[in-house]
Amino acid sequence: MGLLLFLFAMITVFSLLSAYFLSLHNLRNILVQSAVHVLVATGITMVMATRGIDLSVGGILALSSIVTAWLIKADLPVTVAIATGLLTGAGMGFANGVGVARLGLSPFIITLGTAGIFRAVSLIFTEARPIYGMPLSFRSMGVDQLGPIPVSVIIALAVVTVGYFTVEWTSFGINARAVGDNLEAALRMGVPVGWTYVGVYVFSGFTAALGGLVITARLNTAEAIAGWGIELEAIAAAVIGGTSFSGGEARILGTLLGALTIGVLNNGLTLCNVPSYYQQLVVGLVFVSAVLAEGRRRNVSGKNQIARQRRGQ
Amino acid sequence: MRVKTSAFLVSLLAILSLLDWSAAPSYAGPSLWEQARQQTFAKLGQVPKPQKPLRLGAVLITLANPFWVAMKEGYENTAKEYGVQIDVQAAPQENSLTAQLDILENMLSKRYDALVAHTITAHNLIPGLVKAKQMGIPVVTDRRVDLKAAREAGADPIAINLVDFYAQGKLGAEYIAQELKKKGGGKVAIIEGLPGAPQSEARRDGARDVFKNSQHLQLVSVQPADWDRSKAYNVTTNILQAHPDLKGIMCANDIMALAAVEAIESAGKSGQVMVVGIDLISQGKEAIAKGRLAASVAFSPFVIGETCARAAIAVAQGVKIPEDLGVVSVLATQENIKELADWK
Repeated sequence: MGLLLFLFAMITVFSLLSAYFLSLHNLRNILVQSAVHVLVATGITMVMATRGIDLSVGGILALSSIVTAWLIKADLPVTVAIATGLLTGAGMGFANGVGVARLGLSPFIITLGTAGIFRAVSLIFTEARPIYGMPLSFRSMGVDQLGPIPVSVIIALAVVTVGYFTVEWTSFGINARAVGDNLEAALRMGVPVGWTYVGVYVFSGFTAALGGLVITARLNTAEAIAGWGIELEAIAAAVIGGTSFSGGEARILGTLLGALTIGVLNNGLTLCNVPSYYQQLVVGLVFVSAVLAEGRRRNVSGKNQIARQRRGQ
Repeated sequence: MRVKTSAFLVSLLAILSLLDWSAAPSYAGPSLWEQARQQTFAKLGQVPKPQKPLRLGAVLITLANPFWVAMKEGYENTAKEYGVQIDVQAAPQENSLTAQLDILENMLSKRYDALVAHTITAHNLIPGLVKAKQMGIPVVTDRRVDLKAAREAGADPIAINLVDFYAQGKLGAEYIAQELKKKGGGKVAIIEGLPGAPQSEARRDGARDVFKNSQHLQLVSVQPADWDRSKAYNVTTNILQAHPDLKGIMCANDIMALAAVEAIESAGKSGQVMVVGIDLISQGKEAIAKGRLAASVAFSPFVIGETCARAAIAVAQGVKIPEDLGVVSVLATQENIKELADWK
């Protein structure tokens, strides 16, 4: 709620500071620019519910979009290429999930490793050369509009909706939060912990791949350095949205607002001609403030957590 | 009257540029930097002072790098000189492909009179260029944009040559060839930057063509070091291991050249291998003055910024600009390094 107010306050301030901010053209810009972050961050939010993290989303994004672009260039039907790209992304997520669930690796470690591997395979496969020139049928998800709304925004909203209902209403979503909240209790209750881990990383891989396809459609290019650093931006969106690293919850709608907050900030600061150094400073300050505000909101439980940890539990 | 004066100045500069300045160190006229600057401006010709206040914008690659900061200062200098507004924006990092496109699109919302776009890759700004065309905003881009693709997509940027990277590689390698000829020739190597990066490949090709065409030189190794200091150190050590009688290394930038010098010195071969870099960074200037680095190909990001700003001012007023605005490069050696103190 606080975040929504903050977002409106920011929109008001930017409208006052720049005459160009509140135009339809510009608002559409913000939505299109945020769409990929919303997609990737939704997947990461799901992973964070299990007290996990996925640092490999940038690598997944690059490699799956390269696979898709390559298949399109090999004259396969666009639908087949898209499906294969998404499956590739889900497959990379599956590998992460197996690393966490079966090999018992820490999510940070395994996804840091696979991030490097996926990025390297992308570079090796393309030799750092972009794959350029996609057919219009494919590019529609990056450039077309359905009525007044860009297709990429519709895709992002669809994924947010699916993510929200999965977290709140399905047993998979409940299991994911249970695993993150208290692993031991989840095991005792008979939650299929392994499959839950695999599931969230597959979902994250899938959304990252979808983000990659939207970027490829927008830029008309797939390249190995696409999505560089997007994992941190996506984590920032999730955290600003109120999802914590300690697991047990996934605020998908908060993540949507978090990504929009970052999008509005970047756009508004550029329109106000704030130098890029300060833009990063402002985004950082907003990030820290959001975390502090969130900490204050759940003051009691936060203190309890520290107390629990002191007791060594 | 004014046209005549400028024509006179241009021809004067053209004549001046033919002279060999390194042979006349006592000359008390404009510095080498000022000369290179004026030669670069001469390619653009006279840019009329705007009659109405112009609003211009520029998208750089990143400001997390001194090279681009100097370019931004060049833009600001010209903005002051011409009394126009120039907003300069940049992506957070050299890899921020979509963030840079976002910035260009955001700037289009502000409906500037003209924009300059320094693209990260050949393709990442094309969608923004298409939008600019639809909105009727002229955009000056460097030739690194894939123009064929841009035109197919419906964009029509005003493409200019800003830096001739091939000529830079050639200029540095020619110095090595010339100096080694005096000593009877020998084995040479090239250290390139990031494989696939256009400026790296062009510099490498320029150097390779010179070395291959020199009878007295034998090109024994061409290795990438990804613009990275520690990689260049290791690559140099390995090349020296394989070719202890190596005589020269052409590096695609100064950072790698300085690392090569370090590696040569720690291999106990100081003074036996001449190293030439590109960019003339301040650490490179010191190394040249001390004779550790043989030379560096200097080109001024500040002047690139000034030239682009002038091009944008011209374009915003409907003045046609020539395609070749390549910034003039100067070879910095121990003989002329003192005259290059003000190079920026």
